[in-house]
Amino acid sequence: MTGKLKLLVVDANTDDRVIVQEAVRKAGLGVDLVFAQNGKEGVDKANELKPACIAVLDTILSDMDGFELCRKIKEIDENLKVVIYTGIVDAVDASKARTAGADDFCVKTTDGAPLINALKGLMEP
Amino acid sequence: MALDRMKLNKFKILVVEDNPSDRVLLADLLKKMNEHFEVRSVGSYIDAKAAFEGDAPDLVLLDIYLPDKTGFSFLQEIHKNTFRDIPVILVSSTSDKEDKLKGFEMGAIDFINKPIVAEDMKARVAVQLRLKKIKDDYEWAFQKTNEGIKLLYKELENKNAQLEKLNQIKDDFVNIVSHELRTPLTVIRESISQIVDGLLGDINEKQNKYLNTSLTNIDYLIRIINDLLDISKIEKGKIEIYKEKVDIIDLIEEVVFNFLPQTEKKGLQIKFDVPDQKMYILADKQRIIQVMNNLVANAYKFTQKGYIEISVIDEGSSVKCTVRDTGIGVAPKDLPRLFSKFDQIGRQSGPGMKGTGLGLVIAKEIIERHDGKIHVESVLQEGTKFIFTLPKYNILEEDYLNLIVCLGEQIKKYNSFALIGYKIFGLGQQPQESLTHLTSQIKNHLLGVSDQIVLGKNGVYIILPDTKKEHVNLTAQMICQIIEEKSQGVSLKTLKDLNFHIVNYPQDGRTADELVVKLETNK
Repeated sequence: MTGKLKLLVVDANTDDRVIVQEAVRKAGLGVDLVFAQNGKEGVDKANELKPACIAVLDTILSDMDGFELCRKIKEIDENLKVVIYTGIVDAVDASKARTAGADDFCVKTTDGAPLINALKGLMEP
Repeated sequence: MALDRMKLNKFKILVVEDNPSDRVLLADLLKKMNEHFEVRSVGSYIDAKAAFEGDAPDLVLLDIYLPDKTGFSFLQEIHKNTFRDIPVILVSSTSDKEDKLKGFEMGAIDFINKPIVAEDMKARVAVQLRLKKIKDDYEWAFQKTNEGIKLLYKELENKNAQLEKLNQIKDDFVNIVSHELRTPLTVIRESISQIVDGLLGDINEKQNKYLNTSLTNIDYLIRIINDLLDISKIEKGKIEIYKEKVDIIDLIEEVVFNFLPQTEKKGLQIKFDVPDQKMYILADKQRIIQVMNNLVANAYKFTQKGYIEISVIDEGSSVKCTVRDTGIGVAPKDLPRLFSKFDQIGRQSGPGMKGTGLGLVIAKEIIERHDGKIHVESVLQEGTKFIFTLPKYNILEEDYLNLIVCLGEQIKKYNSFALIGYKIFGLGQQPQESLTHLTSQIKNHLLGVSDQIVLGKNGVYIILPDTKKEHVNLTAQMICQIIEEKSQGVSLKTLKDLNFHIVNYPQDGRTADELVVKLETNK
């Protein structure tokens, strides 16, 4: 495994995964993408990828919600960065993200621009 | 537990205390609370202020009595600027209640008494930090939500702009295609008609039959194109309605007469139930014919046996027209969709061709543009009833004959004009004579040469071509004064009531009839 930063995207929606892939490629972030479909897979991959990993989590997953997954990932390594990436803009969700320890909370758009901004913010030393 | 969570949040705490031993004690206690706390301690007002410059703290422990400037002043300074949200706990040996109250009034959030009791101090600091964390979390969530909403809003706006552009392209496309199609179709139709009519020599029966089928299909195509054009006009609000006095009975008879050959051939009876006398509406004749054609054609198409009944009922101020058939009917769930665009529902049994499904949408628009209403009632397998009402033309025409003629002339001459109508009551024994007198008086005072004055039965009418709105209003007022003065001059003391109304061509109406009705119903 190279020392390159990994981006762990946990999202059950294929379209949304494609948007992230395209946005990251276009932005030239220089990160490797790793996808997971559900919470359990997300936890396993986070264990493999730590410590050089940023997790991008959808809020709605088949086995657990994104906030719970966020908590689990922070338990694995509290230095792993987590972005909650959601189609639902809701103050309650944002609040849940914060208490779960998420580092950022951003909305899904068709160009994925908000996610790229969030990732750039987190990648700055 | 609370402290565990805070471990992630490296709180910055500022201690402002001039007494060196207390300062050290406070700083030590804080560091023992949590190794991650960033504690800074200063002994003076100036140092405290400097500590805010770079990086504002999350919590301040402040001694009220500082040497160079009292703690109160510093407190005041924090709370009047951008740092007002930073919690401040006062530290003092004072037992003076006044000072404590003053501190709270100035925004301090808690108070620690000297000598410092470690457990007491820790508990108070922990509470404030926890509150601070909750507040920060909410602010963060609020800010993230706000950003998200703004982004989504922007995306919606962009999508909307794209859709509008697409819609425009579609409109242009429909327009161009429709116009381009209509011209050659008309030529084809004309040529075939001439052959069918035998103008180009004899044709045999078989040829005649095939050519007639072609004609039917061409007519159908032309109808679809006209429907599409109408719909794109409706969407843009560009459909123009020229209302005139129309006898609805005569109009309906005309439409029905045209359908007779078809219905006879299909074995359908046409029942006709209308009043004997004429019944006038203010309407665009061609457009109402279009509506009737549509409704009767629908009834014809979906009725295999039985009859089509057309009835007209006088309802006082309006006319109610019904087209009823004994056809296949419409299911209740489909009824609301009948008048919506491109909702061709599955009524398949008609032997005729499928239409665009736009006829009823257009009919509804036309009826509504006439201030009327249209609705449908139907029972499956029993039949369908379309009912529309239109307001009656209820102006006593003889009162307005001169005016209507004059307006007709003005419409031909000018692009716009204002019509002011004066109703004058109580003109004594010989109202017409008095009115004639008044008319000549007003004529002498009228401003422009192109302005017209018309004598009516109970008043006078002024027409001001191409005049600005404010000038129209001014003129209207002036003429009011003239009427009042002059009618007194000719000893018309009984003048009881004088009122006027203004209508504008073409905004308020495009025909003389429409303008008159508008003027009279303005009251």
